Amino acid sequence: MKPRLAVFLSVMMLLAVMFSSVGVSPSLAQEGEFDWRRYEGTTLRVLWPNTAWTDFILEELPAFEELTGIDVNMETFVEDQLRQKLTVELIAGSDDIDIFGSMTIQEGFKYHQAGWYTTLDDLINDPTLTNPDFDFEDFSDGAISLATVNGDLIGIPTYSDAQIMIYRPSILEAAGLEVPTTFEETEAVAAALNDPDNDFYGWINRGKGAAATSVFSSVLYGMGGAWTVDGQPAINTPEAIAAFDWWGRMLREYGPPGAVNNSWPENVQLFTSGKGALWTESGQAAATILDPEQSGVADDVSFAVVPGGKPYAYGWVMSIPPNAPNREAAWYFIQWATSKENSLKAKLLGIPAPRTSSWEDPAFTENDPHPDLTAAMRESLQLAMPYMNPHIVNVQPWRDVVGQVIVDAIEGKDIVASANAAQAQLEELLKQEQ
Amino acid sequence: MRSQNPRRERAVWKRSLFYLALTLLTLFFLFPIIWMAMASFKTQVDNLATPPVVLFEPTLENYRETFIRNPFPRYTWNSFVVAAASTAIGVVVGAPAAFSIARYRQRGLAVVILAARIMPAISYLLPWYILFLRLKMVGTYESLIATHLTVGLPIITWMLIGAFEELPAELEDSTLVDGGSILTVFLRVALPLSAPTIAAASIIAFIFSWNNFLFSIILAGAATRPLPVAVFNFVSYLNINVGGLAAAATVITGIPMLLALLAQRYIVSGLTMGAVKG
Repeated sequence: MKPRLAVFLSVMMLLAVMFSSVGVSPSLAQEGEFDWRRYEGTTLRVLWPNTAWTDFILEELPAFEELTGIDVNMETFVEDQLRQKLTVELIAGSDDIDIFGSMTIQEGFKYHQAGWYTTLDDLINDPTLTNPDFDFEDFSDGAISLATVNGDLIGIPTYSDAQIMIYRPSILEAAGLEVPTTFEETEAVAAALNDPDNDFYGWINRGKGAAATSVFSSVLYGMGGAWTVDGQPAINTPEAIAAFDWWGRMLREYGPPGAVNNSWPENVQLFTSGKGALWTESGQAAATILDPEQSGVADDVSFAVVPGGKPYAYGWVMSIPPNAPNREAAWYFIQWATSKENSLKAKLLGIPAPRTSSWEDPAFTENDPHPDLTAAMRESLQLAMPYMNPHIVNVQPWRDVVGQVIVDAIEGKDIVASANAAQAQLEELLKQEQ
Repeated sequence: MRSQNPRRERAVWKRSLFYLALTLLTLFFLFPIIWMAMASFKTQVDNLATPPVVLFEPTLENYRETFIRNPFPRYTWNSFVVAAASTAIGVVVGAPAAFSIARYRQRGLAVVILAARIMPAISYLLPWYILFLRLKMVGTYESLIATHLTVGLPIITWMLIGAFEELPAELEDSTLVDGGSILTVFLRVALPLSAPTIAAASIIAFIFSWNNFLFSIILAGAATRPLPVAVFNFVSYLNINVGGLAAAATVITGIPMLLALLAQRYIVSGLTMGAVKG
């Protein structure tokens, strides 16, 4: 560095330090009132996925910048791109990220092991840094479990979604059928409504290998199985075999042709063009299905808890990495973005809120256009378990292995042999992790 | 009477079969592009309909969404700056390198340059990122241009090696005999005679840079984000804006296609130059 430049920079830094300490004193002067302008002039860099909540918060962003004087650069990416970018930046030890998003149930254990999270307790418990209206207790237990990894609170959930069953009420009614709640009832309803000659199918779901494991988890746990037992894979237990068998049979007998190629984009298309009776997917699908601009069945759809009553929950969590240049200002943004007010505003747009108060606010309950969806979502969020994926580091290889058993089951191959082979591979995978 | 000449008739048949095959082949290759362009004028319901809708009421909504409500003009400009600059630098650096390699038979050097292209690009990414992080250059045009050089420079160099080797040695010798330096040979003889190849190589390097996704996603910042990265923002979980995606993709494809059409003559003659001994 040139000496003159070095002198210039040190003078600037000195000035910055002086001014920042001047900036703190007024906050102490106004005692009792939370000082939103304490970090005025800071610029935050946020790396965040593209979700419906993202669209909402980007609209609201100017309000935060006005309130706090903090500028926010929110760079948004499709999930997989975000993961790529975060991995490179965090491995390289970037000191340029203030806030990042992660889906803990997918990558939380990996990031936690790599040391990319910080716990937020110190910020939440500091009354000079946390607005008293923030009310951490308002977040539902399920939502907080999505922001907790190995017992550490590593972020704040922005929304918490759960898997639900989506069905066509008019078609069930015409056949005189009740909404199924057990696996046996679901199979009976799917069988009764299945009409492949008219390109209509009783059951729509994911069959595309690794993409199917998350929605399959509700059947695995609903039949009494689990991904792991005592830290070991439990993919070839009788309960797991029964779950694979049910999933395979449902899609083979009452599903659309070529179900092994279907993930959520194909299923959205099938269902919105009126080709399916029953389907289980994340609650967020409702926004698309209920939008007449995007859906041909918007006026004939309803929602229920998934058969077996063990839906998964997931959500994107805002975290602060250890090298964040503006940790306190970042916390200001997080507490504002997940505040009661914003949670409720998002809820009114159909985004599942992590806060209990948003679900109970009269502004929402009195104007709820889809009380059936609300009821199904609330019950599902109560029942939901954070086991969409196993709690391990190498989630994706695990999903690839289990996905193969799902494909074999749909194709009617020997499930026991396939599950035993998968079990051996997964035992090896977990051994490498430890 | 003449048309009854069996030979002539056979020739007509042959020709019409040839054009029929050509039409089918063209349709086959153009189909995805036509489909994409159609999707960009459809509403989301039409785009998601099964079976697909062929006749529909066209809407400009997707283009409004893409270019007025999203900063796509900005992204297009970013892509253009990076592609144009990396191509220009590629030619300025690559042409003398190619000339030297062709004239002095520096085969080893040529292979080293090609190695940049053979190695999987992802293996550079982490070292690059760390490097640019230390230099405080992440998210700048400069870092994107520099990295895109590894995509374009080898192509430019290798195409030009072939072109320079094809030039008759007599031209070079007579320039030298007339008192010109080797630089004169390069600037006054080799470069002008290889103009078609330079044009072709530039177009190809431009398109490679234009389409580059991997380097851009890691190294671009909010202000320098190029088109291929931006276009994916039309995709989110459980909701794909097919029309918006198609509108953006149509424009992304359209610009290099237009460039390629304008320079088509050069591309064809440039690509085959060196392949056929004249």
